[in-house]
Amino acid sequence: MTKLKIDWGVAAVLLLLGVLMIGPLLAPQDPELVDLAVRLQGPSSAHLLGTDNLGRDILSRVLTGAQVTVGLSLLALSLAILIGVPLGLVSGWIGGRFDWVIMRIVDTFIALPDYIVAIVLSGLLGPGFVNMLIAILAVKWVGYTRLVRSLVLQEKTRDYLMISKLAGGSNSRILRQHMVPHIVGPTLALATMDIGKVILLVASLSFIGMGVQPPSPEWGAMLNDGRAYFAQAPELMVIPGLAIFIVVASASWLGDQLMKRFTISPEDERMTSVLA
Amino acid sequence: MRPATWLVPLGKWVAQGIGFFFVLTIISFLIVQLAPGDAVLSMLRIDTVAVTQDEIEALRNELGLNDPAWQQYVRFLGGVLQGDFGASLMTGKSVMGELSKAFPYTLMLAGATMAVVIVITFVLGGLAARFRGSLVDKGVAAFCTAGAAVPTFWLGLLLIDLFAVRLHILPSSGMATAAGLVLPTVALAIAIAPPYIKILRNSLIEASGREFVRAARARGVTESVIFGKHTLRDSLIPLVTILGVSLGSLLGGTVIVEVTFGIPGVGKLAVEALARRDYGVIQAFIIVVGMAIFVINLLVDLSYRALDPSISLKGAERA
Amino acid sequence: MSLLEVRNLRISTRRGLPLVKGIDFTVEQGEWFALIGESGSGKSITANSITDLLNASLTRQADAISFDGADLLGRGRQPLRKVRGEQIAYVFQDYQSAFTPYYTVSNQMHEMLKAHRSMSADKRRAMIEAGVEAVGLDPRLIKRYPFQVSGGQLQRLALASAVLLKPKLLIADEPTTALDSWSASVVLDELASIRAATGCSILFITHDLRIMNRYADRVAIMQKGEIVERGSKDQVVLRPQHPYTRDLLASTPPLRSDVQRLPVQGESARIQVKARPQTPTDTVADEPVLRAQDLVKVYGNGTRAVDGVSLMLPAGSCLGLVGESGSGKSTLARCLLSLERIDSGDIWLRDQHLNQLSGLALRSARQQMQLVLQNPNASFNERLPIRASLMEPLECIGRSSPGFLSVGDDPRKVAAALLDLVQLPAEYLDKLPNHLSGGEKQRVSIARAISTEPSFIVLDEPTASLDVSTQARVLNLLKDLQDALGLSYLFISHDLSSVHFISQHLIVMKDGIVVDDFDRTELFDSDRHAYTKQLIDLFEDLPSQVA
Repeated sequence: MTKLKIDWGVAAVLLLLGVLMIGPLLAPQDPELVDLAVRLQGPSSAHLLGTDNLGRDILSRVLTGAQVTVGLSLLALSLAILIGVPLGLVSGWIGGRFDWVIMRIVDTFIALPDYIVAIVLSGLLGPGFVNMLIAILAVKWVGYTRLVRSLVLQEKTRDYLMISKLAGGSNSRILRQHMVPHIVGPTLALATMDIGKVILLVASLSFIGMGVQPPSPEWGAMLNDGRAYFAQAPELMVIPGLAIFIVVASASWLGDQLMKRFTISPEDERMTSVLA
Repeated sequence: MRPATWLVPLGKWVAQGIGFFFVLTIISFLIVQLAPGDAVLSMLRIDTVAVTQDEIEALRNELGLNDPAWQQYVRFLGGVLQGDFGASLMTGKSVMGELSKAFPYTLMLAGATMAVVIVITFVLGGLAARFRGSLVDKGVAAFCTAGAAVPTFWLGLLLIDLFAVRLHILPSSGMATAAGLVLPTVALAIAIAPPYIKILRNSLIEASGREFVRAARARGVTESVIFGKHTLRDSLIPLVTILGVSLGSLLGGTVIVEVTFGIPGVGKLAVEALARRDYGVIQAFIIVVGMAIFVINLLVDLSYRALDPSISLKGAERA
Repeated sequence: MSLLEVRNLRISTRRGLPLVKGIDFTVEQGEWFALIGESGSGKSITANSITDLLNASLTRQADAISFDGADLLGRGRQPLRKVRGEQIAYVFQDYQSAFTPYYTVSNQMHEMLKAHRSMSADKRRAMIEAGVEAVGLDPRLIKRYPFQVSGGQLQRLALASAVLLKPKLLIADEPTTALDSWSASVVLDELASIRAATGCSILFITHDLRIMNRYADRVAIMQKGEIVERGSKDQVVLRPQHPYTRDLLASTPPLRSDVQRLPVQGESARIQVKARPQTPTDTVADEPVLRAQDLVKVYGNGTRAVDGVSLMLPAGSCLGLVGESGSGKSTLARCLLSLERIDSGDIWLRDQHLNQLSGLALRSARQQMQLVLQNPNASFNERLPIRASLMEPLECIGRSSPGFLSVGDDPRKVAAALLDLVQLPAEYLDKLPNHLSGGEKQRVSIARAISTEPSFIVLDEPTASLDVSTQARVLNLLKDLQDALGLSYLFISHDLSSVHFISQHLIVMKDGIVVDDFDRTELFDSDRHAYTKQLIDLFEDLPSQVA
């Protein structure tokens, strides 16, 4: 429908995410290979970004860790969308008691800060990939339900739906033809902004020791490991931090662009910017 | 804005508060029931290396863990209502005592951060709106993107390295002195402020284009009155509406910052309790934080009503 | 010397798109000067530019803007502020934004006086109370917040505050367009008496030729940023020179003379339909398509939106429903279409008892009815191309083509033929709705409504949001389609002249009740309801229309 213009900024961000997803394939060395002979070395031709306290190649660890950090975020978000979007769609469309129950649950989840829920959940469930996935999912689905529901409520009152109803259009037809196209853009925008936020959350959880466990490389955990050696080898901490920063900044920039493209009502945009 | 109109939703608030309190107690009760691992095991493991099955059973009976769930809940609720969450496994002292010792630190950190956030929001948001489209605006936008993207703990560590380790200006951890508050506050404020700055900028711009601003200008009202009275008030409303939600993220942020800077606040206490499965502390943490957020939301709702009289007056005495 | 003189005024967007292209006009002492134009003509920004009230996105240039001998153009912000409110005052269309919603009206009137005069609070209060009483309102009203005051009263308060300091020039920008006709006439009379009392000049911006005719001394007609015609009111109304002026004058349906079509320019030939639809209309003449008996609809808050309405729509004719906003006419329409449940009464669609149907029977009954809505922007899903929206009813019903078309079953051909019926080119099928003008969208809406050969079509203010000249063309189109296809309409509008133009029978609604019910020819009968007579006064014909 709309002419697709190649936006170099968008292309660059997508390329970055793509490269990170195949990060392990690009890693020059085994990220878990311990070689105490070369511990805490600065950048060299053998180790482009130097080595850590166990002599492991930092570049390889950052690239491999990308898949854990970014992959976990993308997976968790996909699941959050899979749960949150249909729930919001149905809740907004049929309304009534079902909507009331869903909204009370949503209210409770919104009232509890996402970091606290995630920390408590992952703390209770213990470290590990799946547990972290559950913790992120628990705090992220609610944003999608809320956004989609409010979009549906907005669109539901539109006059053109009277025409569809008069013509005898079925609920599934109206949802398919009118509601779904309406929510795709904003949902995509929220998801893109969320990538960055979830990466930060994953890294924060790992940093306080509740995320993915060593030795598997994860950016937040790497950063925490590097803390002790900061005076001797600052790159141990600086590099994973920078990696997080760049990916998160790119994703939220892309999300901002999408927000602008898919006009969201100011209230939704505000809510999204704090909920995401 | 007569008192009567303020009091209208009071009953609703009380009902909501009670409802939310029960939801929180149920959540914190269930968390312990459903959590993997045995609370008794983690309790015993602290003192003894080897435990027998009999010892476990004895303790279970003693703690009432073999009773039906509802009896346990009622007992738990009774304790909560008296402010009794039992003793902490970590220290053996009362959970409430531990929590109330930690609470002032968190409150101080959150309060100081909020103050800093408000200042930078008004300065940067105001500048960006005033010089819309200029380099200043773009600079503020870049600051927002960067601030929202930088991991708080990482920024905290870098700040410690720069100001404490290298320059020796400020302490690296603890909050023994007011100076100790500076770095954690800055690190947290940078992470929290960006959405506020963006919203204030946009709503200031939006407000200055409103028809009623044009109408006031057409009456010859001075520009300073138009800004101070009409535009500013209009642009504060969207800011306040998101305040309730985002103050939650402030509390979440304090956890990370407290761990990073070694501040003995509620967040650090909770993280340590989680690591040791000290359930009493976790339960108390959930309920206290949850109720704190409820109170914050109430205050936000109140200020929202004060800012926009139509909320409480509409329909009440319509012409 | 003229009170206001504007020479070679140009307004453009920051990107350089010209909106006002070098206009000159003057407003003399004590006169009522009307600036007439349709949306997009640049009349409102012209008014705002006089005291530099334009948005930052627009730039203003002029050779001269002088007021009462002083130059307004070269002045900085501060001196202009003194002029605003004190010497030149404004009343805008959007009465809800006349005052900031966060402060009481009284607060903002005091604020205005403080900005211009240094006087004690008591003196200000006395001055304000006198001003409010002068527009016939209770001074206690201003203790309220703007949203607690009704539209008409709010606009009168805006007027009161505008003339508080006895300005020499009052600029009224469509001040009555957003009001119902009774409130509008009160505001206009108030405006006229203020002029009589203070001798101020009025620069009146409007699109409404009847208001212009009733009040203005001198007139300028604006089209696309230029003044195309100017002169005394009589000159312009009786001997229009420019084709656009003639078109505007011809666009207003007259009440007193019987015209088949409105003589607007640039219209294509009448519609040729291949086959007349085979509906029962042809066999049983005058059988009512729709009958409603004692309909009542009560809303949750106790408002009786529709209160015992009965009506009948004979096949192949048009029933006109006149009523102002809040009269319950749109609610009635939704009830008739079974889009809203009624609380009591009966509706028959031919021989089907509509309000007792449910499930499949209701669904198939609904499919025999169609609707054209007031707001062309809200009538379409803006994400779908025109073709998808146009063909939606046919697709839902499961038919490929209406019977009156003989273009085969190819959906694209059918869609193109439907657009052709409403005189739109087939290229529009792939456009998105926001690439069409309001009038064009309304045509697509009409094509969509007739595509299923409905028993009747509800036209709910189909022309209210259109400019007068576009409105005339849509009215002509509706008449042509009715003639060609034998359609039945329920035409709902606040505009008595449009309803009268298109309908055979009229009913007048007020506060949920039918107050008047008469044939088109009986409009001027002496036993018309007082409310109808009041409407007739408001829609009195222009002198050019009185044969």
